[in-house]
Amino acid sequence: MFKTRKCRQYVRLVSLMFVPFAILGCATTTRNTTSVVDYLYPDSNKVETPSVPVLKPPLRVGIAFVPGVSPTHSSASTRVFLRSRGQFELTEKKKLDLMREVANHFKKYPVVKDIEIIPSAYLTPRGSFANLDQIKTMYGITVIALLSYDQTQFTDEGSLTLAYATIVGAFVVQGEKNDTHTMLDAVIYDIPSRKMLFRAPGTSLVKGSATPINLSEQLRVDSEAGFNLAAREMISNLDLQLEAFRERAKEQPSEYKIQPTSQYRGGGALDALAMVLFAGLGGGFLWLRRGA
Amino acid sequence: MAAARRLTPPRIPAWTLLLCGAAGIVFTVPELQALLIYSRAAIGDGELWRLVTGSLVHFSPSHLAYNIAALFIVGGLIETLRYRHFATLCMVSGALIGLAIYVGKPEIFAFGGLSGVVTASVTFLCLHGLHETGAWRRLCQVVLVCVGIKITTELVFGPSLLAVLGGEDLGFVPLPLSHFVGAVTAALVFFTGQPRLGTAAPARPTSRSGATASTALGETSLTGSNHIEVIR
Repeated sequence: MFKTRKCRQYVRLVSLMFVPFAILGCATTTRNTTSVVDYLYPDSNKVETPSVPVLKPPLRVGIAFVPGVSPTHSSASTRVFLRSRGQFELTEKKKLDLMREVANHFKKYPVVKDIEIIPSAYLTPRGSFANLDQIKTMYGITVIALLSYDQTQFTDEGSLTLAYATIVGAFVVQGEKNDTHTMLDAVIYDIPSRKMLFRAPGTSLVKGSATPINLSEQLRVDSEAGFNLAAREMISNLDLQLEAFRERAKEQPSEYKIQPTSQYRGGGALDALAMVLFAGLGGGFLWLRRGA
Repeated sequence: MAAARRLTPPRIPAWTLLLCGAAGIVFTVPELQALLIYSRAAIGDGELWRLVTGSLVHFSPSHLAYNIAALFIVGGLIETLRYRHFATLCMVSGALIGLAIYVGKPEIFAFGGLSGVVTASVTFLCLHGLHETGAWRRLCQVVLVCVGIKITTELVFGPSLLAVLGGEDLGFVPLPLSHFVGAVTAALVFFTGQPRLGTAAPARPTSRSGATASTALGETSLTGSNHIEVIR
């Protein structure tokens, strides 16, 4: 009996000694990524040969996030408790918000007639151009902006994590250091010709810190902030790339055929009523002159 | 009166012919079209001449034919009646129309057509006609009112009802704004060209030969080889 109690006390002591080691010395990496290449060219043996795109502005443009894979999580950790992992996935709402932001920015361009925001559910993983053809038919678009992202979150501990040993410290000390690297990439494709017109990336780096208790919440906040910053940079890059594309299309008419449609241009035109009026004026003048 | 008509030989409407000819040439030479068309992007890049020259470009043979026919009638009348500042009117109206479209219609990437200049010309002609006498004055009043109603209708209800009913695909969006700006420009040029209050009466119907609309219509009496007295 005595021995058993002694033994339990010993185990508790040893356990307490290991607590600091259990909560210290942890580094985790969470990567969340989608790829346009995986989506459009899933079969590396099949070669898609692009043809010369014929663009008829004003264009109906679609915008969509390419489907991705589940986030990968790697950990070099001895930690067994106290910490919840931040497995942030870009939610549909957030995707729609980002796409709306991009769409609102590009509606000002006269070459863009309309921008259709396409929900992720309409894009099948590894769907390739067959899937894009379906979307083209459904939405009546010819050009699509495919958005992909690559976000990696690193979490490390600083020296402040020693305070976790006090248990209370785990609730108040922000010893978890997070780096969130985000890249958001927009690739503009002409669907009928399978030709990439241009692309524009946006990157961001968000640094933060958190207590182990609210780490996952902080990671979500950092992740969202990273996407917002990257989106802003991507939009400004899209502006530049669109301008560069315009120049390229002007200089290489054999590479890109631009055929404006009627809605694209305005004209000063006279109708039959105006012609009757002017003819009456001219006829009246001649009649008066003859009668004088 | 017959003597008067003999003494005031018909003037060749040089500016009108020049404009009509230029529009015709531009229509047949694609390189010129590319160089002169109102292109929003090119104007943004500093090619400002396109604001003025865009009016010379037309998108289809019927577009060209209608505008040239109208300009030939109206411009021909202005020059026959020897109203001054027609060339200025064409230049200023072309520039202001281009500018108005650039500012007010950012969704329009390309623009062409002389109708705004034609509207400016007919407004200008009719405003001058209000200073004439008799039937010509009444005719100008009627046309001016009709032009006003037409522009207002177009601005309120969009492109002309007749154009819509016609169902023809013009290959472009008709822009009533160009007609409105043309009419406003005509009024500006007309009133700027008028003598200020308190100054001497204008040498209207001002021309080198002294001919007026009234003289052109025969309402004159000759008192000398170069002096014409207008009968009111």
